[in-house]
Amino acid sequence: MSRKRDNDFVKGVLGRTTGSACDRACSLLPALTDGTLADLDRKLAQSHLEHCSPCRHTAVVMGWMGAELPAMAEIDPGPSFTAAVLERTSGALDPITRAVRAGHSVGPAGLMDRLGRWWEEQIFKPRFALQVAYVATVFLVLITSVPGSPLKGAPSKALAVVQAGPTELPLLGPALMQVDTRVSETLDAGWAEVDQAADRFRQDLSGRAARTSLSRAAVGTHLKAGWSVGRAGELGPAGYEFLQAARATRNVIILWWRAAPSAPDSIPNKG
Amino acid sequence: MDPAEILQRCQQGDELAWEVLVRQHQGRICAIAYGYVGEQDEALDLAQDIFVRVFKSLDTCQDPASFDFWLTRIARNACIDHLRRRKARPPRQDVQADEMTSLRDRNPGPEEHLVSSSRQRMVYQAMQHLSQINREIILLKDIQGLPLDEISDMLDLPVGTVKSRSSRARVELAKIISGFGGGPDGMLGAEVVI
Repeated sequence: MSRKRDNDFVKGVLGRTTGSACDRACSLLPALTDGTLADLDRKLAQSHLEHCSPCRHTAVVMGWMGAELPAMAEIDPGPSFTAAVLERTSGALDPITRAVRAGHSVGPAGLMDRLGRWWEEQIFKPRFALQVAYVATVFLVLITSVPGSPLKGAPSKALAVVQAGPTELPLLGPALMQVDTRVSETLDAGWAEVDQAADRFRQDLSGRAARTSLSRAAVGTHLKAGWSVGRAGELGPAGYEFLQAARATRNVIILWWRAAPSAPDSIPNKG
Repeated sequence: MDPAEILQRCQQGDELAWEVLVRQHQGRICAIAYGYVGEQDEALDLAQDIFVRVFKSLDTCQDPASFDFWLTRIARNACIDHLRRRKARPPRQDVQADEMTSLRDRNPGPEEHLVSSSRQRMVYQAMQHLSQINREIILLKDIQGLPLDEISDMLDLPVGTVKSRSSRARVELAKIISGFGGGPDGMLGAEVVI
């Protein structure tokens, strides 16, 4: 059988059974060209390629594509390209963005920024504090000793005021004295209020104790009597005594919380 | 020169560092632009636009280690935007009748072409027949050599999808090239590399 007839025969059989094997072969081509195909699949694919011209052509192209495509990663755009890009990017940024990239701020914020940076640089210098103190001293001496200066004689005046004390101050002295008097008066009044409140509390407590004394004594008496007759086996009188003790307890509670102690122990005994 | 230092200098506004950065990456950016648009002059203009966009966005690149990925993403976004604009407003093709006589062949010869290899020109030509997603995968994976996870991130596709699409795109590209009839380098006579 010739090769052509052989191919036609196989194609006819495939057409009546599974269909063309080209799709399956093409799906294996990437792995075949990458060399990652399993041994059996590689043999099957190669067998198909031997007899299928279109698939073989595709495999040839894929073979050289594997080497050609990575070589296409870069293109030489020519010598004028870089110059054109630099020309276009030279004015692409607005002044503010350009200044910020260069490390400078603009406007009032930029002035404060530069001042802050200068201050940060200065304060880390070891002799900066000494220099500032020296300059400040010279400045103070000059403005307090130059004839005609409004601050001339100010140090001696300030020293006199300090030595005389606060009461000698023209306006501040009387004000301080008045404040001191007010504070002491307020404190005295406050302590007096506290003492009065404590006295009222003590009186109230003793009054409550006095008006409930009889009822409290009655509670004790009835409890003792109930206990003694109960131990003797007389349950009826014992119950009566405990009931009387409960009533006396109720009287104690009512009298303790009653506001006006006009008549101690005046709760009528309903029993 | 350390790429991180160059990037930092660029972010500080150093023109010399910016020139070095442009020279280092212009070949790759032009290849990406050409792969997307498939037309020489348009690709060069687009590559310039990409560098202008990169220049304005330099401050947003915080990690020097991922600069290449960042740059490729910007280039890809610019190309997609360009293609959308081109689709919305295709360039005018009308030519006056009296100008027809003075027309000459505007296709550059091999010596003027960006891509000197006839095989590579054929690949670029064939890529224009692919779907956009397949063209992007060929461009980013097989030409630019980006790892699958970066392509997945860039195209917003699962890694498995990128992998399977990559295989199909290579076969499709090979079939298109094969359909061109072999090419000037006697392609069909080459050895099968398997």
